Amino acid sequence: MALLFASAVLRDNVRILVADDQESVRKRVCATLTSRAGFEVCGEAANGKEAVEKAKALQPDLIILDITMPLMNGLEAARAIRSFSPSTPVLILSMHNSKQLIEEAHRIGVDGYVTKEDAVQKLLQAAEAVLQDQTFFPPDT
Amino acid sequence: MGLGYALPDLLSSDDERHSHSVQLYSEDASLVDALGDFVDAALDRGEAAVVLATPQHRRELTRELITRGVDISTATQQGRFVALDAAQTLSLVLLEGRPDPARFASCIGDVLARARMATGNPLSTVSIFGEIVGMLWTAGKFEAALQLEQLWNELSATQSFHLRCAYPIGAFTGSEHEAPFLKMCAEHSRVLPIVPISPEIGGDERFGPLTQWQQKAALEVEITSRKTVERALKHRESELVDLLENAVEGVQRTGPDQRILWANKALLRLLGYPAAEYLGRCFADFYVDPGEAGDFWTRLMHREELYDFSASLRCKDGAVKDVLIHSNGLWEGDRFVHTRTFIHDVTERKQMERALQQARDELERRVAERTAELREKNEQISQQWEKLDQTNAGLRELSARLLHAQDEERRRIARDLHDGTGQSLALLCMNLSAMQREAQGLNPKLAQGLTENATIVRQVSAELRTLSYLLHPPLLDEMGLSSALHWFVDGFTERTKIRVALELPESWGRLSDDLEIAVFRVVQECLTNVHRHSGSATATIRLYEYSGNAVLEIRDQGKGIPPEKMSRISSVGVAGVGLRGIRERIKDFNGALEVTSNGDGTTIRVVIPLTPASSRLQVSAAAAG
Repeated sequence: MALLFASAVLRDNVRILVADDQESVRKRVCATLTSRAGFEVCGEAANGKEAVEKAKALQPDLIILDITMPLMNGLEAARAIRSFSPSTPVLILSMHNSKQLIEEAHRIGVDGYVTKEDAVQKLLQAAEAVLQDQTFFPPDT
Repeated sequence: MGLGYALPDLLSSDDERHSHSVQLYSEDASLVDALGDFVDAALDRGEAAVVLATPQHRRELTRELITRGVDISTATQQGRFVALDAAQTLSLVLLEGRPDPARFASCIGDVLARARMATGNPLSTVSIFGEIVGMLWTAGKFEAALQLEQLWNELSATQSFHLRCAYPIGAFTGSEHEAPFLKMCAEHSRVLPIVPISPEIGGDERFGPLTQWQQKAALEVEITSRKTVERALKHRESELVDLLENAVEGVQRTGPDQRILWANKALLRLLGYPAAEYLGRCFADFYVDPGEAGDFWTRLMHREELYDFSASLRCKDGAVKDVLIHSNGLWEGDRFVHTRTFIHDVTERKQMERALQQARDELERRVAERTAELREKNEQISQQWEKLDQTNAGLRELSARLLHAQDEERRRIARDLHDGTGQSLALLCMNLSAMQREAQGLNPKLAQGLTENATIVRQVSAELRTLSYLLHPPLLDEMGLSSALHWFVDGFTERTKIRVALELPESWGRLSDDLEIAVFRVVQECLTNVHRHSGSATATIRLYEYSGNAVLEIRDQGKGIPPEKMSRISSVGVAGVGLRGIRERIKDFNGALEVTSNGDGTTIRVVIPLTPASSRLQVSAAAAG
């Protein structure tokens, strides 16, 4: 899938929910996101279950999910979120880069997939893309 | 074994087999009458009778026998009755007026032999009536007559016959006849009374001095005969004693006082005693067991005949002889005279029997020992077997536990690497990237260095991920078996260039973690085998549900498993670590492994029963929570 260049036209105060079981990673992700003007982290979750609950409660504009998390993994969480919030953009930010996983994420209805290694360079791009109803997946998928 | 003594008929009288009597007669009629008795008796006994008589006497005899009812014609036909002319026979025997031994033996011997053969019994006795001697005597040829009598006596040494010579009393008239008469009588074994002897006719006086001569001769012959018998008896007694004395078996006689009266050499030799130390002693002294001696004597005194009475006798040198005794008592009315005891040495036989028994006992003992040993060995083997079974069961359990532990450990390490080290590396990478971004404007050199470092970290991260994925399939936990299999198959094809078709059901829910990892590992193992051994360029993996079972098939189009390895799989059930590992993995799920292979390829089929409780988790239910 072709990488679409994200435009700068975005509304202010984009509220983002970040879910990752590792706090240090979560903080780094949050810092990366908030480095962009208008991006705000409205909530953090340390597992999939918490992410689903907070997604329901906070109604964020964007949800970023890690895959490997306790209690419920990111894919399951994404599937659950889709059931009550079909249009909220969801990004997967994962260590994994396997084709099957990315395909599966795509099948569930996730909007974008970024590996953690590329987070600093591509996370903002991906966030901007999905916020403009575009998808963001690694080039070879 | 008995004491088989067959004693010869030593004491039987010669009279029954041989006699040479002289018959004096006054009248033909009385002679023929006596002769009729003689021949009649012989034929009646089934013997032969030969008559050498004058024609007149032969005629009268034939008439007499017919009168008595004797079947003369049959006897004559058979050859048992032979009547020859006396004068003619005499002429054949004489040579120059005197009896010739050769002619006599030839002529008379031939006649007797033929008559004897006619009876069917070559040893039978022939009765002969002869007048040929009387004819010589009447002719005054006393010497020749005596010679002829002597020839008859000589013939009796080789032939058995009863010879009756007839002399008419008219041949003895004067006193000059007395001496030859007595001589003639002495050649006979019996002098019969003169016939007729009826007192009414006149008694002995009628024959004058001949009566006294006859009586005197008869007496002398009787005396001679008795002396002969006595000598014969003595001779036979000594023969009998000699026989007993030299018998191989021990023989002894014991008197009423239980003392040994006599013992033969064999017995003395057996017990090692000289006669002086043995005879006169109580027989029981030599019995090892006094009870045996008492029993022996009591039974004999009850007139019992003991046969194969078993006893042990002690020798002079202390040795013991095992004997079998045959004994009975000689009784005169109520008086016990002595024992007749025959003792047979069976020591050697008994020793052999004992040795045989010992050998048999030894054999039985060894058989019993060997049997016990074998039983013990069997016991040990079965115990070892049991232990081995237990060990095997333990090993199988251990092996299953090890597999499980290995899976768990891999999963843990993979997670640690991925979630711990991996996350840290990812974070490091993000930090480096952020720093690089900040440094870009301020210090391009630093920014360049940070970029390089970030690249290194990315490489390390990728390597770590690969390592982690190999340890534990990354998607198994997150996405389940189907995704994990797709991931693995893609990687496999990339590495080996073997095209793999993966046929999975559309809606396959989640299985239990254990079962999913088991199925994944089976596929992993089978594809490894396809790559290593089959030479196939393609493979197919099918996973489907069939009547409550999960069925996994891995098929290749390779050269197949070699027959010898295939037969080991059929008989032993396993061959090689790979298949054994598969079997171990599916054992906990009661799964079955089936291997079919030929020149067109190999199919491994694993069938695992699906139980709702342990094997299947619905992914939707888990996800909803």
